[in-house]
Amino acid sequence: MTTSTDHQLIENTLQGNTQAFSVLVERYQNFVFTIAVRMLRNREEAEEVAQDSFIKAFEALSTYRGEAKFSSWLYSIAYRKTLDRIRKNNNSRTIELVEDITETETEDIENALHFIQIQERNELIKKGIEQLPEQEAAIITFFYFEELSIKEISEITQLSEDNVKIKLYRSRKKLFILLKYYVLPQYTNSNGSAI
Amino acid sequence: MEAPFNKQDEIIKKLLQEASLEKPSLDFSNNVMQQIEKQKASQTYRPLISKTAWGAILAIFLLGLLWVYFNPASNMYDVGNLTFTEKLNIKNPFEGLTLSKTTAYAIGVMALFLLQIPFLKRILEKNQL
Repeated sequence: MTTSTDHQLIENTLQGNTQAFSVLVERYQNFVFTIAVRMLRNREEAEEVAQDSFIKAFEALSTYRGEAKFSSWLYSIAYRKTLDRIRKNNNSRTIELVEDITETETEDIENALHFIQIQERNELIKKGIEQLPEQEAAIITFFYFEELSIKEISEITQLSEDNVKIKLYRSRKKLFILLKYYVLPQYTNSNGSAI
Repeated sequence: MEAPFNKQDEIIKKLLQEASLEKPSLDFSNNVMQQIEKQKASQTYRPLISKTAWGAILAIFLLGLLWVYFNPASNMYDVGNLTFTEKLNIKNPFEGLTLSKTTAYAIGVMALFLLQIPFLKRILEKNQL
């Protein structure tokens, strides 16, 4: 039972075995929740949105045609639900960073990261993602964590592939600038502009 | 241009994979399943025609039967006196009314305007959400 494929579970659910759906919920809850948290920055709201996403997926399950992976289909529901919530809250975030990161800085950052404890590194990257605009926070998680392709991300987010690439590029750059502030304060102190 | 890019790519990937996923509360999937069950239950137990509606339909049907029983038609083509409208003699109150073209257009546009209100209201509500 533990190795049932998504497809079998979907079939079972559609035949009326609601419990089969709970396996799918458990399989994907962490990622759906993570996307919601990274976009919303609020665990309670993210949990609500993640729940709504699964309920919506259950209701719409008969319309899932199996063209895309079930996970992608589910993520697109979660992504849309989260964006809806952000619009409702009206608290979308934007940051403008116009700096550039040089090659040596990239290396310095990498070296500095080696000396940081893993928990601290995790905190750092989470903080960084929190500062990204919500769409970029989602895209960067889809791409680097879930290792989805640009095409899959463009289907989930309804953005063009070029647009996804641009957003990836920008979010990576922003993350690096933020990392630079955190791990290489000596570079940034001279400008006197801290975050 | 490419080299630092790939480097950044690698670093970010490593950091993100390390950061692992956020976990929702322990009863997350239970909550989801409970809500789904609730929804399913409410869906199956809500009949399209409610009991009171069935009662009304039955009452109308029985009344019709009784009426037919007590007033049997002697001739099935004789559907009764249909000239009562003439006896009532209702006059069309707008009989003598003539409208200029401009007034007709104005009324038409006004009607269109009123028709739009529910749509506009919906758009506004959507935007507020």
